[in-house]
Amino acid sequence: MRLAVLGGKPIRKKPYPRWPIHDHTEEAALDRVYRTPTLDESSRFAEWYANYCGVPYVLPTASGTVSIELILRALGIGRGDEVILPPYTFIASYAAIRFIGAVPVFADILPDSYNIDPADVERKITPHTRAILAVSVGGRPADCDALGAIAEKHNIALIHDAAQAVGATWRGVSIAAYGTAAAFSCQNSKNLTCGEGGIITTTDAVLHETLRVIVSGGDDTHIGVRAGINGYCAGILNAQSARFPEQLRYRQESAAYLDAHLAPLGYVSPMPGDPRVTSNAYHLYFIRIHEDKLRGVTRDRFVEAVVAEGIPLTTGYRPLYATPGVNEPHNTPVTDYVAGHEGAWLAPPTLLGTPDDLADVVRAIEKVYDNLDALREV
Amino acid sequence: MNKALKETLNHAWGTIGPRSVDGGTLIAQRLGVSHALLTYSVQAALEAVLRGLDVEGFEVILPAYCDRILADTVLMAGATPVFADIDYRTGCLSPMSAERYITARTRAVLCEALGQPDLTALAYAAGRERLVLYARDALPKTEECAAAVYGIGCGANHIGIAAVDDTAMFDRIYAAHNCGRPYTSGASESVVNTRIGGNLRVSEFPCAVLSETLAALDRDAAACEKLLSNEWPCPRMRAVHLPTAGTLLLRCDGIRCETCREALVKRGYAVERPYTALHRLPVFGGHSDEEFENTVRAETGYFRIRI
Repeated sequence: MRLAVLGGKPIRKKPYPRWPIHDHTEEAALDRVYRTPTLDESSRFAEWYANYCGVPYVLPTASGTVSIELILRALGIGRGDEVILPPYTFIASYAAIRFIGAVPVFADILPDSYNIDPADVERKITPHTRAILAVSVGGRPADCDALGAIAEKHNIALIHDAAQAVGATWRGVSIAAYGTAAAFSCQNSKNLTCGEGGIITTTDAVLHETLRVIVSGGDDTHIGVRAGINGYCAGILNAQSARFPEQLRYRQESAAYLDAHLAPLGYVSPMPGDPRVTSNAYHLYFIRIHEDKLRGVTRDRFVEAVVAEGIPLTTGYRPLYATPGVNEPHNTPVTDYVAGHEGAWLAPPTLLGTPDDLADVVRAIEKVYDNLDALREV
Repeated sequence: MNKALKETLNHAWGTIGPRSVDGGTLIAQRLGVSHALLTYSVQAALEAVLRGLDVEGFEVILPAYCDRILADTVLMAGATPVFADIDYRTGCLSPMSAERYITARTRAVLCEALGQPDLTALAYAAGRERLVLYARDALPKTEECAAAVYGIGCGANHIGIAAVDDTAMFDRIYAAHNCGRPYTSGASESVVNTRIGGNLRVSEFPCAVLSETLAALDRDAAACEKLLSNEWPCPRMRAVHLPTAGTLLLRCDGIRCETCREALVKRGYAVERPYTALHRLPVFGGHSDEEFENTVRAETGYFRIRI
């Protein structure tokens, strides 16, 4: 079969499931808030999320980005302080650090999870380091054990950037309960969404109170950052939360299917499992493309051909240090390789597809591989 | 159910959807400016404007008597707040006082429109390119300013607005509010970032009811305007002229007048002191040695009544 990218018929033309999903419960929530704009939907959602994650303190906010910024501010981190983060993530993680005047320091990622490498984190610690910002990339928790131990040893904060990780657990415990605090995003593409929103969780009562003061407008010693969640958005989250656990289970089943069908191929592979990751939130499903087995075809060209077959695959993040305005030094060879030659992910709603939708992913990848020579010659 | 909300839910509640884009156009037309950007709060709009002015590491002049949001946001944007006195008659930043504090490190001058500020004098003193107007529950026009920031609505309908004429500046403000992505890019994940930016975006839902929010603002402002010529219980009391939604600002022109507040309460008004002086607060540097005569006077001489 001729490749679609070379003018052939694509594996599929049908779109993958529409996202977000909503029904009359979202309508009812919006109607409630419209009729009573001051209705406290936020507290109701916070209570649900606290129970869901098993964490005592939850603060719904305007966005995941502002959630990270609020945590850093509440911890008193600011000008001249260093915060270690991975460069293989969305710009928001970096921007939150820069916005409070602190210095972002890049630590490399691990090749078998794309999450921050604890050993490299430890190498990057200086007397100015105040926090580690550990991104759970794609929804898979970063190594909570190793990072927690490093944070404790050096008396620095461990903040989980769990923007993509609602529903993720490590050793059976929600990512929300690990470290000093965690920041989640409820932006439109996320697995638990309200369009624009975020959530902060912590087990630290004092930190939660400081966060509450800041979000409420500040006091004599804290500036005010009035970044509470909008009432409509909180109402939407209250509706979305009812169907979230089932959607998470479905995503995980889809991921298991893809794992089983991609692993034997050899030229691509799923991310290896880790028994400590007891729930991967699978906001993104990563596929590792092994360029060395593509007979001279690059990862970018391979992905382009898969996309032409109707599959929503992308080449993933560019490293943060490739962004204009990001000038911090970096020595992160794994990130360089993953971002340039290996990483790819399926767009978030793909895992909510039917078994046929998922089979098309595998069929498309196989088709492209079977036509590598034709692809290389063009 | 509200039709606009239902349509938004059914068709587009994603990042920077049609409601927020159309809302920005509507506001820009109303204000007679080239660009208006909607944000999740008035503070977010001010932050976007200050970051668009690249104030980090520089000084920003603001009145000692104003909404605390101004000073909070100056610090958020990494700048140093420099306080100046107000003009007691208008309740707004005094051009003469502001001029005293302008240095080579001044990147912006903020003026809250409590009453009608003397923007011509402020633009002359500060330079139009540095002057930013701030108003809550009112949309005064701002030809003399580089940018204006507004907060309208309340509760779930609260929206921040950043309004500017200059397209290059709008692009910087837009990037500051949308993760560094420029105005022309939309929200696509594949877009290359041009600056460092946060997420100050507004939800589509409050934008869906923006027309209603504006209508309520106009209705409430008209009700306030009717009260401007009211006869107040104390002969030394004056309304400060800026119709705002739901509240009216009054000032007492007497010295140490004790009767105004009581008289208003007796008439059944809910009375509050709008602000306390910011320059003394430790969080803003605690410059208590500064003597801002009009600020001190406003602390006891200004009242806000709810209509």
